[in-house]
Amino acid sequence: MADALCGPSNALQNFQKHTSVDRTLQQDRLVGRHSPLQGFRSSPGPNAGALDHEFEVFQAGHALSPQPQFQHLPPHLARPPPPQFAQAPPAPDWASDFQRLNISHAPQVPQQRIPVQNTASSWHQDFMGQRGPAVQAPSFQQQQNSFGGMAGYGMSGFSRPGFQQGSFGMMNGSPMSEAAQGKQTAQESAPQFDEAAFEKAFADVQQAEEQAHAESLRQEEALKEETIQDEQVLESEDPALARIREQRPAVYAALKLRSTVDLNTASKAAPYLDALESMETHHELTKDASEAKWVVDTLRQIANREAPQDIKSRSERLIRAINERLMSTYPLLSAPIPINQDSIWEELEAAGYTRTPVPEQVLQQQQPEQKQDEQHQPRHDDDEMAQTAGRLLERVSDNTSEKFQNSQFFSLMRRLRDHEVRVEGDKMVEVSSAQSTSSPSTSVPQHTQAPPQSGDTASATASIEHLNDIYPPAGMDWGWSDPAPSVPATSIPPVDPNILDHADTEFTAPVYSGEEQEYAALSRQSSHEYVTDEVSGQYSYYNVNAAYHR
Amino acid sequence: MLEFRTQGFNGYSVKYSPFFDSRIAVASAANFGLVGNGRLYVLGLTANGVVAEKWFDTQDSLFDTTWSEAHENQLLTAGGDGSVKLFDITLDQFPVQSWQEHAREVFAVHWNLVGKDTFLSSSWDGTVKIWNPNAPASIATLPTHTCTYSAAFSPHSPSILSCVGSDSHLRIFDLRTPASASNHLTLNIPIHTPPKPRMGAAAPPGIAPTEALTHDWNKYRDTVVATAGVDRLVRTFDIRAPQAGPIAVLPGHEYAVRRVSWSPHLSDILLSASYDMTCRVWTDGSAMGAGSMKQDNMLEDPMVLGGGREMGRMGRHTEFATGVDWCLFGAEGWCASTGWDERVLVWDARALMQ
Repeated sequence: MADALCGPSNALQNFQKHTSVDRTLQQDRLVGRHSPLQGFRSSPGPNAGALDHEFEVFQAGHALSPQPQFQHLPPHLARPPPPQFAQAPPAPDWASDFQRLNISHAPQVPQQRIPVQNTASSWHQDFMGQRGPAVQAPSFQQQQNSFGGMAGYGMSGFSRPGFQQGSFGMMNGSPMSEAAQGKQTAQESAPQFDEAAFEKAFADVQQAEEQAHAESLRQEEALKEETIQDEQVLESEDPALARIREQRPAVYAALKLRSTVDLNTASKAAPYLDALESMETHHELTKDASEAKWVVDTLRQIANREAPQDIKSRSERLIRAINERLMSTYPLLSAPIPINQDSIWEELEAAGYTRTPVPEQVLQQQQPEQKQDEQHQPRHDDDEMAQTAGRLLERVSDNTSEKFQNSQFFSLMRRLRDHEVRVEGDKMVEVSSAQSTSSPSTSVPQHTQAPPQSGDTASATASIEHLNDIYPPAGMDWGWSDPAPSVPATSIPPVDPNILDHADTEFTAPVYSGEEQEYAALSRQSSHEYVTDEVSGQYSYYNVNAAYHR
Repeated sequence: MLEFRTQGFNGYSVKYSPFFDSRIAVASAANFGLVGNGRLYVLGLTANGVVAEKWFDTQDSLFDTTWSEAHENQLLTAGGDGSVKLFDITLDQFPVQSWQEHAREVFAVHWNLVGKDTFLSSSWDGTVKIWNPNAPASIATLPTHTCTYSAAFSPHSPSILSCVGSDSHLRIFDLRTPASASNHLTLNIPIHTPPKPRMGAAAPPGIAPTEALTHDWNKYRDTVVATAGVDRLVRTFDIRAPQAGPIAVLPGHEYAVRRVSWSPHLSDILLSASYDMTCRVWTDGSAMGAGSMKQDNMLEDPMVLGGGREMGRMGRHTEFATGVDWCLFGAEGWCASTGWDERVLVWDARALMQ
């Protein structure tokens, strides 16, 4: 707790050795900054200086060096354009426009992306409880819009202008969600593929491609076949999708495979199937169990719908192979495998591949949602406060003296812990009354009055934590955490050919919550081939041919 | 025993005036200092008991107060919003001066007892600041890199000050030293070091470092400092022998010790207030005949060191006891205490001593 409370260490300490003059005043990082908040707020951005320089150069009329503005693009986009697109050299004035846009926009890209990546998971979990899907929509949607615009601008210079906005701009932005409104009646808790918009978007891609390539590239059919993947990569990806492609190649391949099947362009499916198969054999696909499970689910959907026979059979083979390898790689009962598909879904959502079920209420609901966000923050602080109070109570729980039992402070701590009381602004508020006043009908004046001072709440939490000191730590208790499942990264474990014989191929993460459940999930009485204990049959689920058993 | 009720405000600190034997200042905070306002009480001891002569309300909790040594009507407060305020009790409502430099809660203020023209404040932002009441900004900042819960000037030198904080170290600063990389820091004594093992006795048990919450300079022995904190032990150190460990260890409190204060009359007596809701009077065993009569090698408690012992306890507080102070005047032994039970008690420690 101590380190969290204290200010950062003084970076100027080493510097002070260079001088013997009394410079404590000048070196004091706190002198002159009369309000810490003000100091934070008025500080220039991280790359303000660099931008100033760039702007000066720009004003002086010199051309900037071409490298910097590609920094924010994924590496594969920073390559020089393929030769067939180089026929239209960019005009100089266009180039300067482009540079200026980058100066003003480029620094924003990482700043915008960070919140999504960092907060998405916890934020998502926080909202899982009340599962109002509409709550999620706005921030993601806005994020996408800005990305869509950026990507469209950045890449249209190298490909055909207009193509980007026509197809993917629509996919990422609101038009798509409006198109999907008709289907949103069936709201399910899990995000769904938006089939209609998906297919429409790809049909648009297809059309645009056909029109553009019709005259000029007809004679280069063969060449086109070869470069079509690269082309798609270069033209049709926004940054979020590109990120998926880099970080989760298997998910990306499965996604693409699925889209080709959906669009009945099965001829293009082969490379993705090939990629998946090679990833499977090289054990790349099963490194991340959750990814592998996602791929299996997708493949199963492909196999279950009408598709060319060879794709179906290859998918089924692939499913089986992945399952076998998964089960061989992660032996039962060895270590719990964290399967968390939420992050995959969130990334897909960020890439514009799924829609959240309630798109059309976004606009009307933006106002109340912001309020809800504001309210959410203090509630988070309240939780922290309640936890601290709980810890404090735990520490004095063995004290049965009358004084401690009758203490008003500890009764307040109890109520804080039980969420009967919470800190609002600079007051302690009964939660029941606060809830009744913060119902939608009466909440408006409360919000406009004064925003909750989260800083106060934070410092209040800090001061309770200080009270935790009333009892010394019993000993140095270094937090012990579960070791990560040990997956040998270098060697590919052998695949047990019979491993699926007794397995539930629709497997999910092994259940470890209780013994009964565990055995219920594992015992397969259908086959008695490998019974080792004939009397009781209790080991019938146990596969004696398994690699881990030998 | 006299009693005053600080209705609605939980006491954090109490200080006797150095000019009048009947005037007491109490810094208090609403909601146990978690959130809300603070109030500075100036209490008078009269024939009719303790009465509030004056009070000042502040925006944020008050955690400490100290009387000006130069002006009998002025006193300082340490605020939860990082402010240090100077009040004049002849004026109404508003402070005479307010300094806002600390980035976190200020937890201690102390007036220079010798120089009388400066005072200090210490804060959770990891600094101790030296101020002049006439200057609009601090005149020196001493980084401690730790949450500094307590800081005080030496009563024997205008330029020596000390502080303790959450890293379990007692720091001694000497402002006469040239400013250098050490920022006037001259001594950094680890509080949790066990005393040196003695011949014929078992080595004392080691204790993990815990937060030190309070300390005080002995008023007669100018090199002796008492510290106390989360590990429930009151220790005394001799800063002439910083590596030797504590010269006395006084176990007894059941929870963390929030405040210690040396007697202004007796060189071996100190008073402590603790989260176990008691105030206790101790001797550190340095006075002749005051300590335990036992041989060195026959200590009953392995923690006890230096022959000190608890002389008495006052258990009237019903919540955490947070502040104690001795009266400088009259018969030795009068003291005041405050706590989170919204009460200020004025009592005679001699009645408790055995």
